[in-house]
Amino acid sequence: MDNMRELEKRWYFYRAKESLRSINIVAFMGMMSLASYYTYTQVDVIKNLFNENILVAEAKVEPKKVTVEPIILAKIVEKPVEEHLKSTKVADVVLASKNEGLDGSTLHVVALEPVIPIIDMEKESRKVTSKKRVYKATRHNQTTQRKMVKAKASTYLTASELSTIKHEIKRKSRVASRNTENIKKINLNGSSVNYIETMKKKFKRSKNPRDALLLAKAFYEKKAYSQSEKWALTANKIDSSNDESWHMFAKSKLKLGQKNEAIKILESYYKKSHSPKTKALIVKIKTERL
Amino acid sequence: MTSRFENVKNIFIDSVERNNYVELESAQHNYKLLEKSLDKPLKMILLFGKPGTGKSMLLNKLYHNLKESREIHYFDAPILSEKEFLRRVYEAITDKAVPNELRVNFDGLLRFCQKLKGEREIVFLLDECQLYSEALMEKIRLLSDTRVIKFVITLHKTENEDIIAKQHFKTRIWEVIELSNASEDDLYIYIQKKLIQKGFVEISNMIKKKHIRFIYTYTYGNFRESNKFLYTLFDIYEYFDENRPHKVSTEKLSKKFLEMTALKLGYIDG
Ligand SMILES: Nc1ncnc2c1ncn2[C@@H]1O[C@H](COP(=O)(O)OP(=O)(O)OP(=O)(O)O)[C@@H](O)[C@H]1O
Ligand SMILES: [Mg+2]
Repeated sequence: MDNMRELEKRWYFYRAKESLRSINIVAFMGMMSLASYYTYTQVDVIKNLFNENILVAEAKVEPKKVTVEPIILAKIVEKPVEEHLKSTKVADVVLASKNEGLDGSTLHVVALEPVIPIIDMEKESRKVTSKKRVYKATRHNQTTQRKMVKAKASTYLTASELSTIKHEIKRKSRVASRNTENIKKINLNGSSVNYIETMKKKFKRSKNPRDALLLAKAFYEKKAYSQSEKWALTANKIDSSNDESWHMFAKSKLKLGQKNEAIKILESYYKKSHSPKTKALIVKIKTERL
Repeated sequence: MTSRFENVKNIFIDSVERNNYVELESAQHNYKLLEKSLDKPLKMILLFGKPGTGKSMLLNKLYHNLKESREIHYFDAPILSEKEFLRRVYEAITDKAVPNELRVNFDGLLRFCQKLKGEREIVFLLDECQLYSEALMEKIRLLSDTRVIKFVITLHKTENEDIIAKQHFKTRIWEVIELSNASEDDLYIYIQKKLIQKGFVEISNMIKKKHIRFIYTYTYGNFRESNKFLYTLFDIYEYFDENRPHKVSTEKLSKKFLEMTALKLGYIDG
């Protein structure tokens, strides 16, 4: 029960994280489309001014380039284009663009030239300030975004839920370290039948080899050796690299009167694992000290 | 109050039982291969594949389908000591119990089998052969050389055992049938059929292709892993059905519960 609540909380947390990510993506996409819309409309103005030829070229324009390059390009064709714009002589413009070649880059120049400052000095200083402004803007964006996210998250989680999650996370590590103690406690306090039933249920849910191994141990202690053998095998099937499951299996076999079988199993495992514990157990069984 | 989801989840507990067998195209294909190779003059047949790909399931089905029409014996759990193994083989062939104080002599058994040549053909199905010792496997091979006993064995491969196993078996005349995980389509059919076989038509209608895709991304179509996934999923359903029934819709699977399952099984972290 509590497990399920805990799981649900983990899920809320996971969802919050996921939606945070998607909000970021949406925001990014939004900004991108805004930027491309802006450049597109800019291109549009000129498209209306000039003839079809340019229109064809315009289709090749990549919005990204437009936003990155204007300042550098401005230098190259400052005046002529301004004149073109004023005169709006179609032929001239076509000529100009022919001079530059009909690729996209010419068009950037044409498109963005009017907004670019004319004097170099001024340009430099503006460059700097505009950079600053961009920086500020993004920072601003980030903070508002953060606010947005919080607002969004709370539609999934109430304040109290959020706080319990935080609490929960802090507690988790402590709980984890206490887990083993808990199991022992159950063992001591409750009757062993109860413990076995609880563990069986737990294993059914978790399919965790540790649980199966604990069950094997419990049965072994109760001298129910065929049960402990069975559970050790179950644990071993899930995780065959665990020494303990092999040992438990062999010890159960031994108690069931199958000493040779027990030794055989351990020896075959020892060949692979070279675990000193296994070696010790083999010796113990062989010298009948178990 | 018990929820109907309790019965649903129990369908997905791992068990090798004939009446849980689902006829999938791939499983049927392998089954037919297996049946065919039983009639070939091969000595041994190897069912090979990763854990949870349905080897035991196939072996079990083979046994139950053929036990009326052939001499066939099935060792579902590995018998690790040689003494015990020989005894079980002898008892199966002769239908006589070996007294406790006696043991079966291997050479004697071999000779006994040779005498039966042409008279009988006995099939032994051995599951979980990765647990048999090298020495015992050698004896199994010698027994199969008599052509009186034919062994079908399953062996599960782990990454590094793979090569060893293949080298090991190449030297003999083996038929190797390799089993693999289900495809996405097969996984869909597997889950649908499993539910419908047990009468949960309504539940099977809840599961759509996109849910299968979700499950497949984590289980890669491994039957055991997929069983675990569905068991956990319906365990969550059971809890909500009992405690907060208004949150449970039977129209289609809940994305939330699917994600909770993936979280619980550690496929994603939250
Ligand atoms: N054709 C099938 N129909 C129904 N269930 C299947 C089928 N194939 C596999 N399963 C399910 O998958 C589970 C695992 O299959 P199985 O135990 O046969 O795997 P395996 O290959 O023998 O694994 P291992 O190597 O660990 O022994 C079974 O408990 C069963 O529920
Ligand atoms: Mg198996």
